Amino acid sequence: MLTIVQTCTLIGIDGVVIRVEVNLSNGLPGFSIVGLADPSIKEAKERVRVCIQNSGFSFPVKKIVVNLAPASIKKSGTHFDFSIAVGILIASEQIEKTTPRSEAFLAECSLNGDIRGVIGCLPMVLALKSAGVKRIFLSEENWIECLMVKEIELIPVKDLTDFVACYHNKKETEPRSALDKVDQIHYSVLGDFSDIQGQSEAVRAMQIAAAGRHNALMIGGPGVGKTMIAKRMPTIMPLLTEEEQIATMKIHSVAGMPLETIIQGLPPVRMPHHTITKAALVGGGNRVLPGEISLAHHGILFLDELPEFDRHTLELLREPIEEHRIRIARSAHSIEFPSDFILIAAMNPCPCGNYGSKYHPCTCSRRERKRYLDHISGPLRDRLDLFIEMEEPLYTYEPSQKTVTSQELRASVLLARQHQTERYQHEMFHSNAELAGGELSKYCQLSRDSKRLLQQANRKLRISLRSIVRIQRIARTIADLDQEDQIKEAHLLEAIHYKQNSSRYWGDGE
Amino acid sequence: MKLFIAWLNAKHCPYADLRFLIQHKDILETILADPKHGGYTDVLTKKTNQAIRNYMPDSFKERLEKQLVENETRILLWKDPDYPEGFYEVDDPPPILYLRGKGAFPPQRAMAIVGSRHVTRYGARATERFSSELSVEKITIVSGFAEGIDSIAHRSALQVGETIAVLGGGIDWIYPKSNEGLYYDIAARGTLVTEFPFGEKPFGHHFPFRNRLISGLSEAILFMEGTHKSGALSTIRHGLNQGKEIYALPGDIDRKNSEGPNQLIFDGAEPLLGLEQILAKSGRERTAGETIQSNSLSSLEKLIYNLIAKEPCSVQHLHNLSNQSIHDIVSVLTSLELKSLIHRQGNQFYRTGR
Repeated sequence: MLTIVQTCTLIGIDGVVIRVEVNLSNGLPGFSIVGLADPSIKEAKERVRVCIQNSGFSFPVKKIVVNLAPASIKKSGTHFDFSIAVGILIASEQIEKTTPRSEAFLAECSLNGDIRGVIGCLPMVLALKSAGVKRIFLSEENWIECLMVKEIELIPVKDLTDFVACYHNKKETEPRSALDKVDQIHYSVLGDFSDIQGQSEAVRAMQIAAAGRHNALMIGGPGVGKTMIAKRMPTIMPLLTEEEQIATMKIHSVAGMPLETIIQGLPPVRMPHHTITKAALVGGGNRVLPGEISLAHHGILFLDELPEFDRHTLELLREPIEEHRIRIARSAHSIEFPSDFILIAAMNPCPCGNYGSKYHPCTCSRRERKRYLDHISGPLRDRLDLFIEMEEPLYTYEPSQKTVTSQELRASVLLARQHQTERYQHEMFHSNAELAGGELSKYCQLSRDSKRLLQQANRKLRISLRSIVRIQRIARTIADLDQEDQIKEAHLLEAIHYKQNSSRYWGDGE
Repeated sequence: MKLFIAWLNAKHCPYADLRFLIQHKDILETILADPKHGGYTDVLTKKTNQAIRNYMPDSFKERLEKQLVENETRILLWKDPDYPEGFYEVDDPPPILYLRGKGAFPPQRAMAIVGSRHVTRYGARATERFSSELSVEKITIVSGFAEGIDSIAHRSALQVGETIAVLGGGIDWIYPKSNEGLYYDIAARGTLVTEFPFGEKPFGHHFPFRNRLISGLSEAILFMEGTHKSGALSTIRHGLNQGKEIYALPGDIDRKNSEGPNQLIFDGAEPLLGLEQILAKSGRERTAGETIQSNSLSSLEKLIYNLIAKEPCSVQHLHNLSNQSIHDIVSVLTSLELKSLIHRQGNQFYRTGR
């Protein structure tokens, strides 16, 4: 007897609906799965058999053939377990057949009959929804991450017995009350900008970065608070919109990452270690998984010890920073992951970390320093807008009173973002960091005095023409933070300050 | 004759012998006429006699001539008209000098800037400042071509005027390697000088020895940075023996690199406070200079400028002192910088020296 149930598989971060065809026939008893299934699916045989038996059902002594259609797509993942088990139960007439077209099953079976969560559930639910599925059975863990998805009935089940009860509508499904639990935002978990002592300049630069989505580089010795600042970035950024949230969660779900903070609407912060491989940074692997740059989508990518990263690995960032996406090509197909992030990088001023320190002499030779700085290529530097040099804070008995809270910073960031959204509503882009060419002169109109100022900066402070473009972008954001429509001289002067650092470190060669 | 002296120099004959031969041209001529004769044991050392008897092989002569051309090097002997006056005063004056570069030699007026190879930004900034300010006054900057203070002094001097590098090895040894670019820059616009023959490695013991030449060329020595063990202190010692003016850059007492100069000040050296002071000592006034038009500054600019004039400040420090918002401070700083009233080194802002 043939039964067809539906489930899904992942290609990149998108789901593809898969029909699981289960046929029971007379003959030598056996169990085989066909349809380009990888070992994780082949192993489902044993899990499904024991799971059915241990839940009090009988495993049919028949020749069982399971086909995963379309059979031409390579499939992997343990979420096929549940659909295969359901297919066998229906085919062996242990549970009733309902409307197979409008139902789907996404979970892993365990030997004691429990239904477990799987990775990548959210994108699969989204794919099934757009394919017209009305009811999805899944594990309780996955249920929470998928609550965002509206207009579809998601039924969490604990174990196979529980499932059968739900399936036959013998058990009431709980209302979606769980959403309230995660509705409140716990900023306190992330810390607050008021924790940071001194470093007001860096804090201000971070506010500008968050407001205009500019990439920034913090240069400072060990222990000045670079990591502390980066970790607190989400607290001054606007909450993710629902659309952004789903896009980000899809990626995190596929990578099997925890989703709690994103469910709260907080932008993700990714802090990969500098030993990271190319594939881990941009995505890849046997089963192509999103890398750190995609996990930082709509959030922050923080690269500490930037020059310690492999140079070739860093160069891979260039394209995603421009395009806001990464394409991973394989001979058979290519997969695209979104990667629209703010890059916050940090580095020591030299290998020993003391260069520029007031009290510790630097023990690096000029050549060592040059080699250290050369790890960051010109093109990459070019994509960084804000350079902040940080000094080591001295310990004081009384904590400095002049700290700004995240909330204060966030208030003006929100207004600045709002300005940008309104201004760029008819454009392809939505933030100041993306201003270039014609758009730049359109949206960053300068007074005669301001133009003269830039000319002076170009000559006196040896700021390259290229950097001047960047200065205008930053000035635009600073003006937005001030709620000004026109860029004023003060805004330009401040912007020059943040850009100038780069030429002092790397010479004017950029 | 020059080539023969160079031969004896390459054989490491004592300087005193070479000076004797240069002084007594008649003896030298007799030797050149009949090198095998020998027997000057009463005045020359055994080593020199040995070298004379072996005479200069033609292969050496050819190679030396080729090296002189390839390295654009000229030879200067003791008592030559161009031989620097100051070198007659030093211990064991070099009988032969190898010179490379288009700069004037001997210099009209010269001062040495010395210090350690490891630098702090403070030291680097002060070195740049004094090196370029003295160059503006047409004073040649002499230093030892090492990394750190020496290189900074040479570089800053080249931007305005001339510089002389006294090497610790043969003129064909570029050491340290990282200064290769600087080597050719000095060759183009300054002078490289050494007492060591071609191919002589820059051995460690050469450096304190050649330091007597650095002080010999200079009327004053400026010690910028270094611990109390710094090699630059040997230049100071030579300078004291030769009766030169010694200046030391005062530094923070908890900065390791300022130990040397601070101790020197304690011991009686002049604290290095500004260009005027150096010039006043030699009875001159500075030539260049402009005055601040402070009436053209806004009140906030004045406030910030005055704070920086008191002591170098970082943005954070200004923020704490002035109660102004970060963005106002930052804009004012850039504007003061554009007006060349302040400049920046690392995260500190300094009043531009005037």
